[in-house]
Amino acid sequence: MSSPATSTRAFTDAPDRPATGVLERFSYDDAIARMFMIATVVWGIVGLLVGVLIAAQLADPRFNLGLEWTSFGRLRPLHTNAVIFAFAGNGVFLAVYYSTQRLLKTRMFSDFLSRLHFWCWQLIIVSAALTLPFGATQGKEYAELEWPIDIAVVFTWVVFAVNLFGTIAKRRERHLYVAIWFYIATVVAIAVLYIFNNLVVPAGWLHSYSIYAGTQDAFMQWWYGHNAVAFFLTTPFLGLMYYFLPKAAERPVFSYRLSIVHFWTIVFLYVWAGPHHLHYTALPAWASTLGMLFSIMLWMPSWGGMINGLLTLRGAWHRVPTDPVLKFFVVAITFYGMSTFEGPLLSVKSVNALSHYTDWTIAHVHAGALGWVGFMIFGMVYWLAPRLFQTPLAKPKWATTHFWIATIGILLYIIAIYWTGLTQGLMWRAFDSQGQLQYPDWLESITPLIPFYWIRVVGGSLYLFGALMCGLNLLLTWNARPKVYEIPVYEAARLNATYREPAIAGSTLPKNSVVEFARTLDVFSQMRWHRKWEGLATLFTVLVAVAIVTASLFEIVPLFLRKGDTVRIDSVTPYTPLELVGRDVYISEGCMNCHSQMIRPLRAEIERYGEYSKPGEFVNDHPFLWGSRRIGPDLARVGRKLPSPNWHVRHFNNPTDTSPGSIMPRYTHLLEKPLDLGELTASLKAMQTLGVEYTNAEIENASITARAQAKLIADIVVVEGGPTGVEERKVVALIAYLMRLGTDISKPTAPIVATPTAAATGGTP
Amino acid sequence: MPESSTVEPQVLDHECDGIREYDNALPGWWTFLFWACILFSPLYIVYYHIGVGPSIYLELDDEMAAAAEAQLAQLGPMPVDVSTILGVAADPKKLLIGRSMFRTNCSVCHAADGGGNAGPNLCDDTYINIRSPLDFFRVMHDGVVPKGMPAWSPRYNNTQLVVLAGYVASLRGGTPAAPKAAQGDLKPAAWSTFLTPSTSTLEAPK
Repeated sequence: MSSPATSTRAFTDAPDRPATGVLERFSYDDAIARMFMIATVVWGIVGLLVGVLIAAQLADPRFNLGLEWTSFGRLRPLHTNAVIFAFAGNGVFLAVYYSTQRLLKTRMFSDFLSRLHFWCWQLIIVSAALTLPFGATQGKEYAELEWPIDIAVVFTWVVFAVNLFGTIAKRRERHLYVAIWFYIATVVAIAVLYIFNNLVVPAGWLHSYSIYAGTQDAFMQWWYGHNAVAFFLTTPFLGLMYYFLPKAAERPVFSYRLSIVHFWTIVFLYVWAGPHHLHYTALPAWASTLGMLFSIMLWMPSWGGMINGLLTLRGAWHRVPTDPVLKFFVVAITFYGMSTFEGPLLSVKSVNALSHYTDWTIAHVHAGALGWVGFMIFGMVYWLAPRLFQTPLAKPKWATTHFWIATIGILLYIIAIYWTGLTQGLMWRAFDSQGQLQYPDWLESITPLIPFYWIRVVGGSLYLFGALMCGLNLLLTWNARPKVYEIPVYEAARLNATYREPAIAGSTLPKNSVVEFARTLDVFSQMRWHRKWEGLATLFTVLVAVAIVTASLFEIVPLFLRKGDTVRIDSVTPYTPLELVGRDVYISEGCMNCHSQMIRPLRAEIERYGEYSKPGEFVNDHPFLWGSRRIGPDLARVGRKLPSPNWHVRHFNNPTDTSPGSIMPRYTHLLEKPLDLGELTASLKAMQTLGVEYTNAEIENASITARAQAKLIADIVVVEGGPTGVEERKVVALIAYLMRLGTDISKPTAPIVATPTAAATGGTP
Repeated sequence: MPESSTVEPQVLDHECDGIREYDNALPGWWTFLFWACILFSPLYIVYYHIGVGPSIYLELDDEMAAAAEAQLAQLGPMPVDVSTILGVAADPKKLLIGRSMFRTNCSVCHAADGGGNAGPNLCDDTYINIRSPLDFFRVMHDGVVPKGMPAWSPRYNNTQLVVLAGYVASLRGGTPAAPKAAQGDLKPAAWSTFLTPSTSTLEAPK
């Protein structure tokens, strides 16, 4: 069977090869894998660097550097997008492009599509870096990229999908290996999630509004957000694990049956779990319950992956002390197990009441991102580098050093942040013996955290240092590469069109002693029937899509159809034009990265912030701005608590002026830049398209109305002893918005600003 | 291999790029926990959404009612009058309650020690709207909205506002860390002079 050419390697042991089949010769495209590997490490370093910077900003706000482009609110999305889409994304593509060709015994479908995919993806990352710091954002977590970039993402994803499914179609290995199942789930699910959460109405080239509002937008966002974790940071990495771990350990996978069960249960159950990000919010209770219950059900399917990872190492454990690749994998899978236990724990409502909005979530995410995602990538990169550069790793010891430094970095990071999360969560809900909040002053719950924020900076820096070592190691290895890469040629037969799956062996249970049903169940639980599906790629993909879409619709359909869940409140009216501009400023500055707008129905929150938030208060909120973390206090009712515009002027100019010890960045640029009403008409029209009740007359007169309200606020600023000319500044719009927040449900008879146009047209200002 | 040959599981006859798979069964504890988690769901739904389990709103109502009751019991009757307001200063427990309310809501403008910031200094002898201790209650209840002072009546009941008024009255004469310059031209007499029998009771607003 072996070919005469010395560099040709034939596959000889595939059972379904026809004895007389014609062998086809092919080689693998490793150049594309090299490209993705370099991109992974380079973007990883960039993403981590931004992470360390924003970590330092929380420890000392001077690290905001006094520039509008480098404030926490602008850079935090850059960090998350860089780490998820650039670091993890390129890592996933590296794994897919390297392993798929080998698992399917074929070159990728199209070298051109591979390169188109690569360069489009890098372009998207660069455009993210060129828009997010400048405040162009859709305002939804991990879905910040504006609509033109979204279109590019979808295009690139389609390119990727065509390339992957094209490769599957021309495969020379009949049965899809479990890694490929996970890749398929990734491609299908991300396409569905990304498109439906990013549906927006544009109001400019880099400005748009989510088509959903309030509660429904929140649901869609966390259906997406949670499943970005599931299908971008979990399923492709499980696929990666199923290829690179048995390769590196040189051991068979622990259990084929477990692969099947945990794959399908993950695909079906994960999609339901999104609402656990919205416990105790204005989301209907039934959705919240489903989110919790399905998260709990997900525990074991997730651990199925962990078991199959760790137990595959049986017989290879003696190599772990000497092999950095296995070290990275072992710790990664351990972190996966920890995170997927913690996830269901945090999704339990009563635990979530404590953990939500605190650093606990951040610690959880980083255990997953640094431990699971990061270490899987680094393990894979160290395994691949000698193979892709065809020379031994330049500094093998550095890889081990990287492992230890990064492990210590993760531990410092997460332990510090678990501590701050727990501390803050307990402080927020603590009552004294008089039944009053024990820590009523917000800053009392911030200052004790600062030392731990420094520990986080140290931990993050160690992790970054490890990544830099990895980058340098790769550079040195690349430098020692052969002049010309050897491209081995392989031989394998085309798939036999007349192939028939062998009959499944019957049950070995004795025929007379058990009922026939037990024998059927026995055959079913052997899972050999699944082998047939693995040979039918189209059917397999359709089944994955059906699982994901069905699970989604079970929640989406009732959420959009049940009118009773969002009771309209008559006094809740659309934002005035100026307030809408202010809301855009709020989104653009990324205020929601630190401030929630959702008072939960918990006594401690009501004591601190006022009446809990109602679904009907958010019907005009495109997008919703409930937030997910309180680095600053909740702002849902700030309009009732702080109706003093000059306080806001002073606070934006220098937060420590009004709030000593505050870690909020200064927003002096808001006081310097002119109020820009250029996009106001387009914004209002977009809102009108979305069903927000603006009359045409209101839209026509919007600039006049906005200027009038700005003048009224500026006059109060002057009365309060503040600066003059605020009506001309950007800050006035943001103040108008903040003063409106949370006031609608207790609105007095007339709104604060009665506009002449509104009176003339009979509309609501 | 640590396993003896008798328990060595069967390796399935297929391979993919050299990777083989064992035919190990699902671990028993895994299967058990998975079914347990699945069975938990209908039980939870039946108890909390169909049956007698309290909703989070019901739990909240109970907790709020209990807290209000405890506070009322602690405070006793608190009519809106000068002697009750000024009486707060003599009761450390009431002062603590007032202090906590103040630091939750007021210190953002008036500073934690009452020295003033965006809002006026509450420790000095001059006031903008206060002629008598009763005015603390009135200003808190109705606000001075055009000047940035919100009305707190939607948020707090009269009993609570009396405690808060008493706490703020007690701040007079304090020594804040960074006192704001005096504002306003009202200079009410020392609070003790208001404690005469002739002081009328303010009609409690609804």
